[in-house]
Amino acid sequence: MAKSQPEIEKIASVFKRAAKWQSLSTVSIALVAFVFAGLPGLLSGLIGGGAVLAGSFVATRIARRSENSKQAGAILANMLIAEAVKILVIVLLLWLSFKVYADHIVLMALFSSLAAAAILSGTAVYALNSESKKQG
Amino acid sequence: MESVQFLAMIQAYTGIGIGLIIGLGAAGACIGIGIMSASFLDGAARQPELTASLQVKVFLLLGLIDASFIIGVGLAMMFAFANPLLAVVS
Repeated sequence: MAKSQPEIEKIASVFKRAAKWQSLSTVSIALVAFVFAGLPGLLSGLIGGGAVLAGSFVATRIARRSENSKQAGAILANMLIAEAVKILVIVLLLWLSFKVYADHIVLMALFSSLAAAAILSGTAVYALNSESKKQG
Repeated sequence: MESVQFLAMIQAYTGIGIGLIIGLGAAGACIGIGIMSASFLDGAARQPELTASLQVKVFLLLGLIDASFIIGVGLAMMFAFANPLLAVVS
């Protein structure tokens, strides 16, 4: 089913809101880690959340290719590809950071921001529901 | 000699743990995604006019289902590259 322009704008605003929440959580956890562990804590926090943010950004770009598709099967295949690429990007970025920065990484900061950003990506469903309620 | 044995034992058990974290996480995520994808196709076939709104929700829920797997992969990579348990030996 082809989408109308307001519907596409609504979807874009939902994804933007999810990215905003993810960025806020990443930055706040990184700042708390900076207070407790200094610069390595700040960088670890930014690496954890940044990996998820980068993966989500790439996945959203790929998923939006089927925005005007009419076939449910094609949409689903495209979304699964987007999700696979998202996981690949996150794993690659984490692997790179563990290889390059392993000696200074603050594990608690990295995993707190990673978990917060990963979980908050799903809470955009609530944003979508609130958008729908606003429009009646 | 004893510390080498400890090291080997910690690495072996860590390897098993990494396999379990990634394997069970992937199995859970795949089962969840399979159920959701089947429901999406079912819904789209019954009411094609809802495909557009369902598509967004499916994509967002895909991220939520994968969140636990991503966290598990991150933990597994930590144990693989910067294992904190090895500090006992050193």
